[in-house]
Amino acid sequence: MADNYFPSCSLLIVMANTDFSRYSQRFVQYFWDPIPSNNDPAKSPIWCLGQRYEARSSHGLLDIRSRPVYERPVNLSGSQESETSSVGVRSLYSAYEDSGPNSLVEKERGWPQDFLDDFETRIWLTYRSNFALIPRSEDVKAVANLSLAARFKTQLNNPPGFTSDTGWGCMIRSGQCVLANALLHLRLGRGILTAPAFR
Amino acid sequence: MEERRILSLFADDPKAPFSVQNFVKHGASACGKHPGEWFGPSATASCIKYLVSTSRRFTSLNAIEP
Repeated sequence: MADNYFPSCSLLIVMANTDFSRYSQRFVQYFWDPIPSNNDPAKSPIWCLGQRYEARSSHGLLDIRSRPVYERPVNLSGSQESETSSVGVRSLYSAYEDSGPNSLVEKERGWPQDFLDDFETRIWLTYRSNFALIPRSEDVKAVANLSLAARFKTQLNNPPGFTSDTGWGCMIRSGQCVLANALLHLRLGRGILTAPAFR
Repeated sequence: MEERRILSLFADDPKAPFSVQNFVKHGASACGKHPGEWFGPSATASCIKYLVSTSRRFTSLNAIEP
């Protein structure tokens, strides 16, 4: 009985320890969550929020110069897990590799550059740690509704609540992404944000 | 920069109008979601609608919940 529980307990201990070292995090990411590639043999068009891109060539159907381009003065991808209580915007590449986007990587992954520009302009919010405490519910029934990992985490924690939303906040973060990108669209239009250093 | 201002609205801080803390707070008070509990699309939509309607900056915005 104990043997059955041990592997899942150690997995939960790993999940509960939200402060991964960068090395082990990359290891997990490499196997569990590799950088997505465009593996479609038919090279079908790629859509990003109503905009269509051809997968075959590096330019989309629309001349990208016809779309508004805004200067993004600062690459916000610097604020990642090490930042406390903050939101970071990651580029598709800086999340996994320290090099900025370059044409060699893109060719390997199969994503056209104009699609990447559009995609990387989108605001992306994801799990964070070390934020202001969210107290646990006082309600006894609350524990029953938690996922196993979340329940385990709250029992380990001395502060009675959550300082990380890993494992339970995904729908909240998705909702934040929907709202953030809607606001971006309303305020800045459907254009592309570029960082000058990358051009 | 407008993008930075938009991002700051989503900071993980109770003072930020669209923070994870505020989503959880409204989820607990109005959607029956205790902290740590998974949200579904309906609870999330309800939170977006509520937080937009109560935010002082976006009084002219209407969030429509299906």
